[in-house]
Amino acid sequence: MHYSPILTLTLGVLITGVAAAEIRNLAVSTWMYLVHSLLLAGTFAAFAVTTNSPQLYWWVLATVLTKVIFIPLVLRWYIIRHPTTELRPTLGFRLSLTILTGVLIVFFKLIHTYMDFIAPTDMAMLEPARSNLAVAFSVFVLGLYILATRRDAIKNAIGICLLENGAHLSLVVLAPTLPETVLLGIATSIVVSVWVLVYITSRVVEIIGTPDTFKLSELRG
Amino acid sequence: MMAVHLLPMTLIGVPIVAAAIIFSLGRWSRICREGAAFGAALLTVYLAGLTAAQVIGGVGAITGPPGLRADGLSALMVLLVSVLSLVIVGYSLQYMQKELQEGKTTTKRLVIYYGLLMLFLAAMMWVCLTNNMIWLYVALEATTLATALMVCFHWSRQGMEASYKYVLLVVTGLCFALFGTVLLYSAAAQYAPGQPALLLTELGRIIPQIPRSVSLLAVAFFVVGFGTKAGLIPFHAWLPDAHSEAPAPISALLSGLVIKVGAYALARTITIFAPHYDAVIVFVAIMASASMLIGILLALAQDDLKRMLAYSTVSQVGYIIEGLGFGTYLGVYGGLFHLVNHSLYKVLLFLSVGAVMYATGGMRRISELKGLGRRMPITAVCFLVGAFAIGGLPPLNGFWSKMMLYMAGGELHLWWAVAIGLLVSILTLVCLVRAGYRIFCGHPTTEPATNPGLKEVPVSIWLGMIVLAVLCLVIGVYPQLIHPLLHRGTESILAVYRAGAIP
Repeated sequence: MHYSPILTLTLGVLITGVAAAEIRNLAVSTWMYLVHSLLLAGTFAAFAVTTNSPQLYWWVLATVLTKVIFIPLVLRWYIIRHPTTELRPTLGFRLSLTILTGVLIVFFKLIHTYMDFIAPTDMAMLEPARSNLAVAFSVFVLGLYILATRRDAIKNAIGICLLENGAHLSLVVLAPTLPETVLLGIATSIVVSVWVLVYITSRVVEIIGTPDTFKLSELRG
Repeated sequence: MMAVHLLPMTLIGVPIVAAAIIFSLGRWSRICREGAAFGAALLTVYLAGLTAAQVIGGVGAITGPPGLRADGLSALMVLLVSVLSLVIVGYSLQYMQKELQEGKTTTKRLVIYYGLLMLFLAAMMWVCLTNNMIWLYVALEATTLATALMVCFHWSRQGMEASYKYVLLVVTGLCFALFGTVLLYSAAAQYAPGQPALLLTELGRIIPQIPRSVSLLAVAFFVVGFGTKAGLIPFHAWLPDAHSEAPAPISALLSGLVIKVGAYALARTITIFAPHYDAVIVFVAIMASASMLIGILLALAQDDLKRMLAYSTVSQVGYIIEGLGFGTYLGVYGGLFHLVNHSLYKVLLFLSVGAVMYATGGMRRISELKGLGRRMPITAVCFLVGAFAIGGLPPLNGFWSKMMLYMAGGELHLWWAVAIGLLVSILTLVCLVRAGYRIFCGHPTTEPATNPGLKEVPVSIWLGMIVLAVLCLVIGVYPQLIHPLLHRGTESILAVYRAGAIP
């Protein structure tokens, strides 16, 4: 199995995911997310070629339609109506990037080392699937990090998108034989959930006047 | 007579067709809006009844296209969901019409309300009828999204806050469940290649072969994921806000049905691990007990009626999850029985609070309401029946399910869990009856009770409440009434990890 292209693509998925998380300009962050999703689709295509699994091409198509086209369009719809710069997060850029990088490196190493504990399948134990799965978990953690540290509601929506991308990336290693209809169902549910979340976020900003989730604290106790 | 194997598909299809009618024609005609919703809900009850009759008395589990399966547990759930949905739709007819007349909403918004209600009903049916783990996740997501826009129906600040938190937290939680599903599938696929590894009915057979680490990791992910949907502590943060800020019928829907979906998903997944891993039983019992205790303590501190009921839901969900987690016949039976009972009396309580809000122009603070019982006797009786039922007092239904759960805990020598359950039951009784007494009893001396305009709600609103109150009493006096359904539901869960056919 030629795994250099897959590892390169997977690393690109992680790096662009971090960029989408940390860049404060929401338009650029959305572009980073688009590139991240394109690389995700590329990873699926690389697996399709190297493992000779034609059903994975349907995954590529679903990913392009939903994550490369539709979700960035939804995010763009929000951005052209509202402030394009993310609200100042609780952690500064350098500190956040440092902590995030540290967390991701530790997590990647942990998952990669103890893969037999998490997914003791023949495919997951060998490269490049092993690294790919470790990256998938890392992207999932990246999404959780955004949800935990960001106060801007739309950045939280991007965090949800990354969270779900991590789960999707794991599918290609853990469940490559999933029927196309099932994958389409997952992709559709994610697209609709992001659309609903962005729509509600937009109305939150209109009614409350700010995307600051820290201000969503009237209902307490 | 319809072909039996088409029943599952029609249970999902009827509400979808109704939603299509409502969204396309509902703006111009009440018949196409409210009529379609009520008609679809009524027809769904009929179909659910047929399904239950076939499963219990006829062919056993029904499998039909596309990949749907109705066993004993599914039959119980679809009947419960359809009956309560019918009550809620019936209640909504006058309740939302008054909001329209008062200018609090528009016809266009009512179209969205009833359309989403039907889509929610279809999604609930799908959850209860799918045998595929991944489709279970997708259907759960669908129920969340259908209700999210109803939580913020009034576009108020509080509603938007509640809706945002609801979507964010539940979608995040369900992502964990997806990860757990994928981990389990990858391990199971080695022993049941292809589609069978996705099927809930196959998993019980395969679980003993799956590595312990993967099983426990999957359990943890499922508890986080489906526990968030069910409102289990500590994943409950969205629940009090969403349940209290939604319109009253939707609050009833959320507490009565939506969280049961999370409990149902846990029933389908966690219970298959319990017999093989004692740690799962204790882990679930601890989480459930924490939910019970913290939920009721927070409920006791509330002045807002709806928020009090929401925290009470957090507490009562603990009973359901605990019973299911025990994994024994008595435990699972008790958990399912409590699921049914809680749905009945929690919907009753929320609809009663809705009636109070309807009559008083939106008031819902316990400290501001006093002596309403003389002007609103039916609502008072309904609320107090619900309060006594949730407190576990005989001869109402809550007594039996709680008794079974205590016995199940004793059977496993988890006496600390039994003690916590008893304590929480007493606190629940105190909380709800105290609230009911303050609001309805005593001589009215202040507004709104002294307002000559205050009167009992119309029959279209209290009729459903009376039906639920009567059901609480009838099941309490004659619990054998629903025994066939509960027994088959319990057997459906237990048979997953026994050798042999699923009933």
